[in-house]
Amino acid sequence: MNKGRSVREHLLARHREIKPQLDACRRDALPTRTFSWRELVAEVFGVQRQAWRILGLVWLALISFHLAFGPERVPRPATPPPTAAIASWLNQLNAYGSLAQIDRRQ
Amino acid sequence: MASSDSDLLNAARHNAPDAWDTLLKRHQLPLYTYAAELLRDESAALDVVQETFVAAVRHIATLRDDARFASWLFGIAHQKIVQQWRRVRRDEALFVAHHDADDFTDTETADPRTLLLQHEHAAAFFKLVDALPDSQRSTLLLHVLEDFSLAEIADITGVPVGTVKSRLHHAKRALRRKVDATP
Repeated sequence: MNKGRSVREHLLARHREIKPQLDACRRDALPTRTFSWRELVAEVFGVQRQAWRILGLVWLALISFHLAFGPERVPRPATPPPTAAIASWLNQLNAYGSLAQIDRRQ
Repeated sequence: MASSDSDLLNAARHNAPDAWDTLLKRHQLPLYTYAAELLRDESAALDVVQETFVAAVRHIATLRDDARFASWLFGIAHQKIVQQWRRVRRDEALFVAHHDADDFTDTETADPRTLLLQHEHAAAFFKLVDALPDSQRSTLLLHVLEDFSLAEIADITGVPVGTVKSRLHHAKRALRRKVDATP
């Protein structure tokens, strides 16, 4: 049975074929997305927040484990006492001085 | 699930083209229908829709109540239509007063929103609507197309609520008279 349509339905039906032009109008009016650092950071870190949290916790656990059970540090060679170092330096200087004298005599 | 206008507006305020696209697509056909029925010019109506969309995107910050997005959009379009009328030097007197009165009862006239039309009667009905003065036609279209309240229509058209009530009443009565007179 044909029940008929509401006035609204008839009105919209009268203009339905204009849809392609309306779609074009709409697309022309849309704003263009501009680059923003804030949006980029929000997209990268904001969307998968839970994943970033888990990744951070894994890194903390790895660092803690490394500090607690990592390979033992090799002890650095002991530095000679300052006096011994100065004496060795003076000996080298003296040796250089005697070589210079030999050069001059030649 | 379809997002509400409010959800989409939140995203649109952050310049999201996808949200704007969905939002404008939702209103484009009723908006065009309103403009086309009033201007009776396809190209001018398309211009009105485009200008309305551009203005909406640019001035979204001025929308105070998200729930009234549709009436805000129709308000912009209405202003563009009035400008268009002025441009083509139509007689503005048509849009001013047609027996505007604030005090009357509206019980004797049928609500056109609930009226069901057979296809073969639709053309004749819209011929009658076309014969109404612009002010009444505009009010009737807003009432029927988007089911706007009297207060919303008053906001859109920039007239007092009493005037809207009066225009709607006279539009319905004129239609009734014409329908009764039609053999």
